[in-house]
Amino acid sequence: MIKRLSVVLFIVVLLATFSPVFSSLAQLDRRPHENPATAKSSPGWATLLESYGTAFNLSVTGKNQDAQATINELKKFLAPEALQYLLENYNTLSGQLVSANNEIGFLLNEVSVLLANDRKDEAQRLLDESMMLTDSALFLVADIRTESNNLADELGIFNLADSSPLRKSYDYLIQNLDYFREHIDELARLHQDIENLPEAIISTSFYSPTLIQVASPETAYPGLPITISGQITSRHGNTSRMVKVLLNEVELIEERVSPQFSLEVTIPPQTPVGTQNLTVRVAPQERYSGVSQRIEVEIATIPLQAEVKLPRLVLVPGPVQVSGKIFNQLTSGPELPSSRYQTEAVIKYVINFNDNSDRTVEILTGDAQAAKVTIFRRPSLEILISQVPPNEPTVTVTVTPQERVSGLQAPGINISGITRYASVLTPIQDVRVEVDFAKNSSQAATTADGSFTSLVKTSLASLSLFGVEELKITLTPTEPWYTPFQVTRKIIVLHPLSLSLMLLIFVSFGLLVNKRVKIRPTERRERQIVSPATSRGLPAISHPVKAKHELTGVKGSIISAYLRGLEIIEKRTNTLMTAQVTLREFLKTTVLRIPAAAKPFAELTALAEIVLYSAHTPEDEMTTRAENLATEIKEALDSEAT
Amino acid sequence: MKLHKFLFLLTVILVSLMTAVVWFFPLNDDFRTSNPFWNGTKDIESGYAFTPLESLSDLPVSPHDTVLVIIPYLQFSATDLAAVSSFITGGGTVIVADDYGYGNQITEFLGLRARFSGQPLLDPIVNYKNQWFPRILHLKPSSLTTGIDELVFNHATALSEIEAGDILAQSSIFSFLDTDDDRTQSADETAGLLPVISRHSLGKGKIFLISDPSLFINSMAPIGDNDRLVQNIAAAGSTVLFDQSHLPPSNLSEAKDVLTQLHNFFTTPPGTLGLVLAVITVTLMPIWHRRR
Repeated sequence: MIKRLSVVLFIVVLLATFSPVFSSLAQLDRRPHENPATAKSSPGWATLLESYGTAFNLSVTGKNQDAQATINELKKFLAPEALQYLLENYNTLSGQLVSANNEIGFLLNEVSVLLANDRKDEAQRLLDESMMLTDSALFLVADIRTESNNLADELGIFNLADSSPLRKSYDYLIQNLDYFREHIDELARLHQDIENLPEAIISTSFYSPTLIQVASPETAYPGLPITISGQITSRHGNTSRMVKVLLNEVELIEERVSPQFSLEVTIPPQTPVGTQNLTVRVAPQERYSGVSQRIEVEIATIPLQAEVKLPRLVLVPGPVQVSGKIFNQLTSGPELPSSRYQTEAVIKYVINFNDNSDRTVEILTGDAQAAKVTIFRRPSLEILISQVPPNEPTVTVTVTPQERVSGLQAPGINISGITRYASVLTPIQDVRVEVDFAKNSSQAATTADGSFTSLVKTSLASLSLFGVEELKITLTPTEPWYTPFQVTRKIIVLHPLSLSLMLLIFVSFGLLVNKRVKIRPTERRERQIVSPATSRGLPAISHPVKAKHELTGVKGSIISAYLRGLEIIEKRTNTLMTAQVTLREFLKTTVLRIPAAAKPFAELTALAEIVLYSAHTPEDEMTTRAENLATEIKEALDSEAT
Repeated sequence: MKLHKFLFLLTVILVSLMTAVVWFFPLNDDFRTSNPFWNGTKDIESGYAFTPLESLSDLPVSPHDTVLVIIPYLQFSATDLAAVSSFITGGGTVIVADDYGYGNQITEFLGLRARFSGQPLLDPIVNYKNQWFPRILHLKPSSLTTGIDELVFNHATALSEIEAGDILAQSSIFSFLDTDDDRTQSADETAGLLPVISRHSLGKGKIFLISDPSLFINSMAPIGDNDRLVQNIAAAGSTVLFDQSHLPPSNLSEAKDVLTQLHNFFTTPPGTLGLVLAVITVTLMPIWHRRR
């Protein structure tokens, strides 16, 4: 039964282990992602060339802003390193061409307005300017054509069939460049016929460019203000402009400012720490274009310091009391709003010793005891003394049993082995303190003097026998410009339930061992008396009683004759035929000792083997022969004896 | 050794070996927080304290200041949908990141017009490596997009039926939805600035739709400003829950779940006590037999 169950269990385990369980859940039709590290790079050259062609086409049809937007988007194409320079140059030339086309249109528009007001001199000046731009646009078209050929060479476009998508895109680009060339030629012709500037061009809207230069602090803090200053320059006037300041595209302020401006903006409290983009954007106004400048600002928070007190050993279940104090060490930093907190002097002493002896250190400020600490086998000690009056009195540091150093006068005392760090600290109020310990937590907040006390109740949930548990204190200040932080400490924990369980196991094993000892008590061996050795004579041979064979007839007679002969030989040679000896082996053993009967005994043995082992049925004559042989053996041995 | 003893020993060894393999071999399922490989999300769990959520029934009663991230690769039950709905209306923030899954079940249930198109979003120009990795550069200011200049998607889709005011991020003007799967832009295919991230308010809470969950996988986080998006999500609430209950489970993950449940049971006081008693019983059994 056990055998069958074992086999069944084995088969079940094998099936469970190796046979796959096919999922019956609906699978997604498409691949959700591929490994970016192994993804094949495949730039979309055909679309790129086609898009440049489209941008030129948009510019020719007067949609210069769309054309510029397309070129700006094309700048985001990530080209292979070998072609980066070529493409950057291509983008620059394309941008300049579209910009020149836009400016020519704007100037011609201005010229037409001036001519309508009969201001021919001013119109002529702008016309000259426009003519220069037209000439440069023609050069730009030629340059772009050259760069297009270089790009085609690099991409092997000229070797492609006319029907290939890349070749078609290139042809489309060249076709639009040709249109652009014709368009510039047309503008150049218009300059010769100023009196008949067509309405189509006049009605096209163009903008005059605006420039901006902005300065701001390199570092800013969430919730605190910074001042941004700048200069806006427009080509044809210095009017006030609407300015918007954005941090990571989130609007901070919008205000109308003079060309030279200064704005105070407050960094939003939720702004994450790190490098952020501050953008100053000037809105378009009348015929002046909009402009923006982006600068990087480092958003930082002010780190706080914590002084935490907690027990080193906790018995679970039982409460853990954590107390401490949170403060800000004022160094260089931002100007904080008028604080509701009072600063106080805090002095830190770091005392180093030459050996690890046990000591007691006492610090007196004036006559009052400020601190008294006993240390065991430690080479150094840090003592923090808070709420020291601004006019610090004489400080005495006494180290027993050995040293006594007195008369330390603050500030800035440095005595061999003792270092004093004095600083002004601000206690921080309303800091949310969350204490997590062994899956339990408690919350508290700091009071006006920055101190807090929190009691964490522990439960039996943890099963650690004993060990070190981590206590985590998360401190979240109310003010966004302070850095939230965590303090972790290790506490030794003893767990009675786990200890009981372990004890139970030990007791069980103890019982087990005890039982085993009782079941098999160690038996004392009786003393054995060894009798002295005595000489023994040769053992007398006792002939075993031969088993009667079950053979009958001829076979039985032959075997009987053999046994008779055998008995004679056994007696004569004093050798017994044992069960493990074959007939032939016995013959070999005795034959040399019975030379007279050797021949008949060998023949008799052969006859007996035939009877015992052969399928051949012996004949009657063999019986007579066997009996004769047995008689011959007896006679031979008898005669030999006499 | 007798056959049944040999088989019993072999079974014990096999079971122990397979248990050890299942326990120690890391999970390689897509989007699993315990998967440390390229397609897992272990980095966001460890880096940004995302808490894996194994069932939507474990959602907090008071969802205020809590963010729930869902990758809907399995169908939702009516109970699950109701849980998500009450989570949002109760003041929670839900982020549904989907490409070809069941995100539309959620939007439909919540009564939003917005939908995940379910068609591949390709961008032959503004991309990372190839057109399956569109770079997202058109970002509107929001708490989710703060400090982000560029996101890189991976086999994404686009959103449809989104009102202009709800759009937070769009693909480039060269992107298109490859509805006929020929990897080139056809005349009838939707192209241009396509919404990929949107925000919608519902009750006291809000829901963000992101048309690619691959932003969260370990290999995509360092590319572009993807990690900043995850950071912004983490900053959106004091607790960020990462739903794992709508990811298709593999055999390995199911086996791990069983082992985890066993482990959890044995670490409870009754479980440990039971284990100790079982060990003691087995140990003392020979004595019991001998006495009889």
